[in-house]
Amino acid sequence: MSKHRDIDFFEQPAAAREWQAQEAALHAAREGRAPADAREAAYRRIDAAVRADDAIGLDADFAERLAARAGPVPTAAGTPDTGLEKQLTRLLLAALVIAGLVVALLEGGSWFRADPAAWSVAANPWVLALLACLGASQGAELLRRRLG
Amino acid sequence: MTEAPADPRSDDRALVQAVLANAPGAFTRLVREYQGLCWHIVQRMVRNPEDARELCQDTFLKVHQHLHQYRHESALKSWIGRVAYTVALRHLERKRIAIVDNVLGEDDDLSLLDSIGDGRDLEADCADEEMHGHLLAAIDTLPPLPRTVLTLYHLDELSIPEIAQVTGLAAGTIKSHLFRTRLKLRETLETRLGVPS
Repeated sequence: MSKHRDIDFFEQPAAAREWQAQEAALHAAREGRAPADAREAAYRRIDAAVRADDAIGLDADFAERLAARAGPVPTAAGTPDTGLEKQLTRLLLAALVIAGLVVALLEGGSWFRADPAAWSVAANPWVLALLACLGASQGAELLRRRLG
Repeated sequence: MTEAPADPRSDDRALVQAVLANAPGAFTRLVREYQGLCWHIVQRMVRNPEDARELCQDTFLKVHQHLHQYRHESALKSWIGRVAYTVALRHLERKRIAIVDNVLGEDDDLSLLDSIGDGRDLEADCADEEMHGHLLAAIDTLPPLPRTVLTLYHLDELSIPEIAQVTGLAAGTIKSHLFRTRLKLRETLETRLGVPS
């Protein structure tokens, strides 16, 4: 497990200055300017050493051989997992609709004979809770879109 | 009349669309374009050429399999880099190799800054080749993550946000790794020259 702690450059001005020196050396190297001082020269050597190790140890025909091995690229429509998910979703929706119809047929008559007060939102705390959850969910989504 | 600079994002879209349409040579083009980045990430993480070659293959096979899920929310190179990094990371996890060691704490950062001299002219002191060799050896001994972050920033010239996307780490964490690693390498240079603290 990493025990890394991020540096707070605002709280550590010495670190912030050193970071600026590191970046200045990098930019000076890219622009081909001579180093301004010994510190910049050190960081430019580090940059040069990292950039020197740029050999790529893959065969010249790596891309061609890999493409031949991989074959055609699967698309969303052709991916078996996506097709299976769609079928399962359709089955689930159909089951919910059928279950709802069955319940309505069996119990529907009693709903019309029930006390009208039972239908009121104020009398039913679960309805209030559901509305509150829907409101919070929509509000969070709006906030996420505005901030994101 | 000057030409408008190419938009990398539209180049990404065109390439991805060509690959998904199975246009001849498109996937080969994609591999050629990003194999260097993939190699740098994987090889810096695992430090074994044979393993790195195999893991690069695994990376592009995963890219091949999942490219239809790429939503252009990040640059294609960040997405492919992320796949490469994850493949290498899982390889190291299977071998139980840590990607960072016990990194310096805040007090250690400050003491390291104090101990490094700033008046020595490294250009004059040591032969270039010898200094270069010391640095390459020092870079080789770095833990996988700081070594990879350093390579992505200096060699592949990815920005800190892009490196954050590749590694899944926060930008502040990437910046801290860069800072500490470069400072430590500078200390290595000074130590080689016998600069008194």
